[in-house]
Amino acid sequence: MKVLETRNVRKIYHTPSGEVHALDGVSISVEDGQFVAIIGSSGSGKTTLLNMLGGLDNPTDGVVFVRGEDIGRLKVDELTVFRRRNIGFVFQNYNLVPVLNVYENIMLPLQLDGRGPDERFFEQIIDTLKLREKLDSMPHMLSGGQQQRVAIARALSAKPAVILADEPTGNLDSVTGMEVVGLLKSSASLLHQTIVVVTHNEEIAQMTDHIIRIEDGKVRGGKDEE
Amino acid sequence: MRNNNQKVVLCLAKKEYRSDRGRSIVLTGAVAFAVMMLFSVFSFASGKLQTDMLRSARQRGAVSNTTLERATQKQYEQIQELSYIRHTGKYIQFGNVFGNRAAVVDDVAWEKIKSPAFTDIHGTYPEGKMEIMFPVRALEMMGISQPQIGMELPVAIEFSEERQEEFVFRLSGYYTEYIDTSQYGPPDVYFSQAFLDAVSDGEEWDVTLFMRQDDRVTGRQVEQKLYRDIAMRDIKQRFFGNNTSVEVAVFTMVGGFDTLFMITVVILLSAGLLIYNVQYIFYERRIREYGLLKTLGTTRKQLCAIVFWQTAVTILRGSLLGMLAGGMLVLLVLPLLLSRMYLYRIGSAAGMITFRPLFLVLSVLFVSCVAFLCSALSIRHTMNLTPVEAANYQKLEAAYTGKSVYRQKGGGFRLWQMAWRNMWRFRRRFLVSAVCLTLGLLVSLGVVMLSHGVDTANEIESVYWDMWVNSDILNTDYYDISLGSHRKNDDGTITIFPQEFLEKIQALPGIAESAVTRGGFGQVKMNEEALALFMRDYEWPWWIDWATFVTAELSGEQLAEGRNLQ
Amino acid sequence: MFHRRKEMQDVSFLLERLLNGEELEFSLEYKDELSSKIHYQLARLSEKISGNEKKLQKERDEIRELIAEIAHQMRNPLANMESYLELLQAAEDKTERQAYLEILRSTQSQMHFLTESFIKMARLENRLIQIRRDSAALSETILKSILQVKNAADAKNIFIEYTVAEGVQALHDANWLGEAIFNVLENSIKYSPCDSVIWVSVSQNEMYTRISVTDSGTGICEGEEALIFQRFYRGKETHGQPGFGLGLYLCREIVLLHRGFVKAKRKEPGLEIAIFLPRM
Repeated sequence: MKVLETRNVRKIYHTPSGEVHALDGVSISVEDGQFVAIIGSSGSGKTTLLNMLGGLDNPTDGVVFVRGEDIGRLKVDELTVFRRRNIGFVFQNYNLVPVLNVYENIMLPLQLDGRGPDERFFEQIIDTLKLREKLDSMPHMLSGGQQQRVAIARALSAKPAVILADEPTGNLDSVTGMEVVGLLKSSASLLHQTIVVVTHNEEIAQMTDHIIRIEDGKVRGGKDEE
Repeated sequence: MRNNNQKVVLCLAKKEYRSDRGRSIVLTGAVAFAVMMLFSVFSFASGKLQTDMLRSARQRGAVSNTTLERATQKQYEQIQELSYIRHTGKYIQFGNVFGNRAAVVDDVAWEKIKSPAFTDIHGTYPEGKMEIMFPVRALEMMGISQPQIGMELPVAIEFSEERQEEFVFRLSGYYTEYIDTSQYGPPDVYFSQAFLDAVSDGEEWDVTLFMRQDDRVTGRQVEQKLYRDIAMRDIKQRFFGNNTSVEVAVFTMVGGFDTLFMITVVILLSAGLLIYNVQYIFYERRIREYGLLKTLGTTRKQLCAIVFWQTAVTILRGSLLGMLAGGMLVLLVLPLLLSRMYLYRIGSAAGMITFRPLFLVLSVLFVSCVAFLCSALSIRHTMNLTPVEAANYQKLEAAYTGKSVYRQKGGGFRLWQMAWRNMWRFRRRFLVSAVCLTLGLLVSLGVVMLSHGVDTANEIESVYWDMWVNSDILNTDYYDISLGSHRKNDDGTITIFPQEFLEKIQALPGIAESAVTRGGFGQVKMNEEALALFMRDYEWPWWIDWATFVTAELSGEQLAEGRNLQ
Repeated sequence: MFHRRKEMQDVSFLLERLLNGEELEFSLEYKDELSSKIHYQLARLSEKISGNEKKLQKERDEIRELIAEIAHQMRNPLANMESYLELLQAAEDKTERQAYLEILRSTQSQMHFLTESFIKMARLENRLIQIRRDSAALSETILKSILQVKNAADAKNIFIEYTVAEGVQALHDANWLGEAIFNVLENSIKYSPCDSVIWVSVSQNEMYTRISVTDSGTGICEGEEALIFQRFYRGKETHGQPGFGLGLYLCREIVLLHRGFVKAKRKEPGLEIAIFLPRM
């Protein structure tokens, strides 16, 4: 089943210096349980594409399907609830709510929906991500890598259908970065989740099941597979 | 059915609230200050009203001066039935005592009409035959500065030109009055009904009825109603209607209502602007955080709930604080303020209760509405950004500051240029700040003006201590001077004896000639040293310490003819 | 009031359908309401249940197949053993006897391999195996595995080329990783034609140590890259070759326990299996 799909998506920004086609007719699809990379240089539109997939922004044209649902049809608050229940996010920076501690940050998506945590699963994640001692800490006390790990824990805890990660290793050193991607990959297979990673790093992309290359708002024909 | 996710909203609201102590202090302070100010202003206005009432009552020596002379018992009973007359009391003046009125009043007249206009009432109204009640001023004239209840006093009563008798009385009570004797005559010395019966010899005394009408009925109206409802015993009997002191006070206040309204608006506006500003800044700083929350699945409703909770807590705390501060201000400071401003030389306002819970509730209500409204307005900007816009918002600001820093380093970029650009870029903020500052200045000016202006009366009196400032003349409707004897023109000036009036007078049968003279009234203190020479041979009643003099403009002809027309 | 009752009734109705074995589809409403959330949870539950059922069914089928396959596979060698035992009994010639014994021995080892694999799999499944990453000499381990398949390689005249960068070290469990590599090599040899080359290379980047085994054999079909690592999976191109589809499965399990992962890439012709071990 196609968990993510876009059909001819366009995104046009109007700037004082003219129109910018961030996305120019992008049609992709991602199967259930895949670990996918979207790779492109800076300004290629990859982050914009991720935003479309996550419902964080509206396309100027075209349709985006998540779990078979046309998310363009949903109203703002409905889309928010949809995201809450189906999509997990990991960003390059500013991942955590500054006023909440680590535990509360991890629990946030669940609590927003009034759902309780899966205790056993939570313990598992915490141990795997080595966050047990940090549960009471505030985000500003953590290093970049630790913050990313918390973000991943949060994304995993809610067990969403899709996890979207935008340059999750961008600010990290290579060792931590590898940790992060490895974790994502193992959870993808373990929990049968679909994970989409946006990156400009070729090596990371090689670790995924499936690579989508994007340049100047267009997907390059002939998707490479590794 | 609502989702069971309320806990997280509360948690977020609380944590966020605690993260910025400064903001909550400022907001709480603003709310508290506004509540305190509003409450004080309302109480002050109400207090002024009451003070004015008190003043006019004390100056008259009675709460109401609506009277019927030579009333019959039947009339008395009829009047008691009337719905618009609250109290009716009997007053009998049967003579003079040392220039004061010797009088007997019944319970109603004493309790409801006379005594509220007096202060420091010691002892009781005379009951026994030889009991007497004196005003303190009279006692002092008699040389008694330390009156004692029960002391024996020889008193000479002048019943009429022919009949004068002296008795020894026991002082049953004494009171302090503030009657403006130049307008209302001397105060009363009270005797018991028993005494009057004893010395009457069957004589029927004229009973004057003192009536207190419903406060909403003016003097003129009550007169009309009374004439309509009660038959006169003869052609000479008349009703004299006067505005109750309440009516007088309200009338003078009406001019002040718009001031009150303006002050309320200014206070609310200031508080509202401050709250709007602070909230705007606070939530703008958190645009990124809110963008993240939206991404993670927080609906706009939930975000609004967070803001609502925080505002509600602020309002609650601020209101409590404001109520406390306001309460203390009103209970402790206000009576002193009012006495000083309005009851100058007319006793104090001690014991006057100006605390009205209604005002407290209203102030809290108004301020709460304004606070909620302004908070809601300030977050519109934040709430409507999409998560992507929110994430980029920060970058914009950062980029901007980065640029200008760079240019400064490059040299040649002056500070004032940067300041101007900053100001112009955030136009809205600039405008709001400018308005706030202007308001603040206005308010300060107003306060200075108010306190300064009120003092003018006192100022004049303290410098020109032989002059008394009286501003009542053209405010009340002295309808018995004459109807239309003065006309208020459109431009605010007042024409006395306008042309139409003069023509009417001249058209009356029997009028041969008439002339108009202009002049002025003045009052001079009798104990003026300069006048001492003229006063030497004349015995004025002790209670007259003011003399009214009239200056009139005379034409040469009139002087020659020795005529003096007013 | 009545609205709530209706919502409860709807939920009850959905539960009933679930109990009856129906699959619930996801609601099109995403409201921040209790009823919407419950509907969503029920749909996920339904998904989980049907997923579990399918998985169970699949495993049952697989086991059934495996048992049948094992039985089938066992039957041949057993039948062989039977016949050759008889022949042995009847044989008088020493050389004949020798030959028969050889065949019996190989058949027995086949069966031995079968049962051993079976046991290993069972142990892995039950997590009875501990990986002890106490060895760093990766090269040694790989060489050992290469040596183990040498005979099979020689039989088909396959040349194994081993390239390793200098000073490559990676923490691993020598026995188990060796076994994993052995399985991969065995596979490659099985599906490579005669007179071909198998390239074994070890490299390192910042994040991983990469061990790759590349052959130029029959390879796999498009889309099978992830499937070949599944238990009991036999590729479409395996016509006639003996095997149970366990080798690569075991390999992956072992590598996962090392916190690494395995990837397959079609080489056309041939197949490249890459093992990634984390550098720590």
